Amino acid sequence: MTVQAIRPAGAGHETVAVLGVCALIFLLAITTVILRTTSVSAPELAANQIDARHGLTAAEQGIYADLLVAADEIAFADTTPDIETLASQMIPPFATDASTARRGSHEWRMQQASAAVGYIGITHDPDTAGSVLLLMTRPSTSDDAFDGHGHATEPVQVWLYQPGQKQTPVPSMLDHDSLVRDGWKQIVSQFDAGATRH
Amino acid sequence: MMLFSLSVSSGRIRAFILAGALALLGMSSVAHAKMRIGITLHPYYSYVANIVGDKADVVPLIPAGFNPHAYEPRAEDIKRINDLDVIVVNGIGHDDFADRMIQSSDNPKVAIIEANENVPLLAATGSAARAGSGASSGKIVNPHTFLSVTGSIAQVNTIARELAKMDPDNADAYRKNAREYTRKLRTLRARALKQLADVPAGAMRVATIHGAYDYLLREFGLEVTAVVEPAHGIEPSPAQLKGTIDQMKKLDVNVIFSEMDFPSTYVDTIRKETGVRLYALTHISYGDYLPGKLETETAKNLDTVVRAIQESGR
Repeated sequence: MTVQAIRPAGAGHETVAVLGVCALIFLLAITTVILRTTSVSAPELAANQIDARHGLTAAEQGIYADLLVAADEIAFADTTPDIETLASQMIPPFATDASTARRGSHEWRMQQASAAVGYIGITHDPDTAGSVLLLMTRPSTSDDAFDGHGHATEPVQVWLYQPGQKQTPVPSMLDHDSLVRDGWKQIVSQFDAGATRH
Repeated sequence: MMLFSLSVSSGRIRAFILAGALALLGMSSVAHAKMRIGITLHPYYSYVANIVGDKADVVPLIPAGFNPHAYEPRAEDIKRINDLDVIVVNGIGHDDFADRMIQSSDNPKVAIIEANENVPLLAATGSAARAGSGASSGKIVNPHTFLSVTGSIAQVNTIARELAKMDPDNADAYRKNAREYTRKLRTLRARALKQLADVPAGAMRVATIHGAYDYLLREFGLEVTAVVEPAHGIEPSPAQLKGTIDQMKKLDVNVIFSEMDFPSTYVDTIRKETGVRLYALTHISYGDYLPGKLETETAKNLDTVVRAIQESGR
């Protein structure tokens, strides 16, 4: 007697093969994604630095932007302009206008050291904005272009002091270490290209 | 003798033709000596046109009438890049199409000026901010720096500085023009703020239809409380609209800034439901490319914000 085993009609093995190919494609895709993923490393902030985008109030952000533009104007001038000169040229935030009261009613004073000039704005409304300092350095020697830790000194810096209930200490010295010691923080901003550009 | 006179006359003709050819060549080299500067958006046309005056040509990459938020590059626009010396870009999200156009052109190595390099950028609000969740959280920035006077001045200074490096022969003219232009812009802002001298700093809570006006409102010490549109030109769904109206009532918003160039009917619904005052601002990205456009439209925006503050104080 001849016995012939006939397997039932069905597509079981084809289904297994298709599922296998699907799993292979899926694994390949996952592996590619994992291998090609790069982490965007955000620059770490030092303890004495504060991020302009996330660490400031709306009023502080407005004053910070104005100070950077004012620094361009100050750099154009032949002699270092004082507060009255800047105010007379309508250069914010030194000019007193309607936004002054809305952004902390800062009282401005100027302080000069050998190679540095500081424009200090003492806040009268700490809840709205802290005190700010625009620090401009003109290196006269190559050594002046570096701070005590060997880092390049930026020619324009903006510092913030959030006094809370305390009085803002007027900086006695306009150098990095003295400002940090007095509790001032350097504002840093980061340039980000458009989301789909790079 | 005849032969001599003929040879003299043909020599003169040759000299004449040669002189003509040289003159034409000279004219064409003068024409080419003018820098050709590409721009992507209306405000950048105004910036660059005011900086260069007649010393360079300003070439818009996309024709007037396109919404830059929804623009898709076309072959005829990409061709314009081929003979440009430099392109000035917003670079932080308003003209991301420019990179794709440059890469597809015959001039992919064209110099680029990042106008916003020295502008402190604000985080995006609304859905644009949510798009940057996860690893890139906080990385999406608000690209509308050109709507504020301070943002414009910072960009004009950066563009003028970079153009001066690329075209030293005209560097002094660029710097001088830039200073005159920024002085005009500063005057606009000072004039607007002067009108608010007697208005008390009241509690004005602001919502905007499009998340574009944070930079402008910062100049007045105002902060945006809520943004209505899920994305530019995209109307919110009825559920989203209800959510926004509830949020506005909860936050006690008393002023909404909408968009002049892209009016939407649902804005009336918001006004009726919340009872807040509505003011229209311009996005400076519609109409013809004109050197005076940024000044004119910025002045309009400043007047509108001044009016809103004055009326909210009543």
